[in-house]
Amino acid sequence: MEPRPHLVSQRPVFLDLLRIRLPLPGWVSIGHRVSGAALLLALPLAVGLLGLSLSGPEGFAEARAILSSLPARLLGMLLLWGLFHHLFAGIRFLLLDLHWGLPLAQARLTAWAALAAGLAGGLWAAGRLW
Amino acid sequence: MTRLASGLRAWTWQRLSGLWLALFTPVLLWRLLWAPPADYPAWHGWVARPAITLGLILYLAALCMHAWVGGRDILMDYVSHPGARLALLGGLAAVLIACALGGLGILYRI
Repeated sequence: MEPRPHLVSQRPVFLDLLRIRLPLPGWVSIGHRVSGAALLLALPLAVGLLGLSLSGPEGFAEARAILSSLPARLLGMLLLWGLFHHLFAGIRFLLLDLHWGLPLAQARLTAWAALAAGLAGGLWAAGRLW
Repeated sequence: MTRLASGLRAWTWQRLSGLWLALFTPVLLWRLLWAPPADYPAWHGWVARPAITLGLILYLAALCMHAWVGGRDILMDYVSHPGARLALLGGLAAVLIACALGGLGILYRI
């Protein structure tokens, strides 16, 4: 059966990711997804470190040694930035779900705020790690 | 599974778990980054406080639920091959269940 004409979208399909100019709230959304995936992948490591750190004084010292190594600090900085971005963008989404900040101007403003707060949190965490 | 974690129910769980994660993450960041425990007894003692142990158990459950819905959304969006999608979803579920049970075991032995 042919689809009825009014159901066929006339909008052009244009999905060249390198040429799409994503508005800021779109970047915050993508960042929320990418950071969520990264945090998910890091979860088994975090559970492992929790177990090691609570296994006894030796395990605690071992976990601290692992966490203060250079690769762990670099990875930790990225993951903590991701965590802060995910946290603030997530709070923004919860507020949007409550219909708070839906008008475009406000949505842009809160997108900026989430991006900046996540970055500030990441920088703070980087400072604490270093 | 489909009834348990899909559609509106998954959406609701994602937000409820997100709410607890947003409330308890600052507690963990404060303890780990702002006032890190000096030695094992301090760290163990903090985790063993009933409020913290309970908060961590709920955190672990919320985290795995949250990661399941989010990871599932990503796989459904980007993996269209049914077999590959099923395999990845199974792997994700296995990893998250292992994390939840492993984490609960750690907290149980506190």
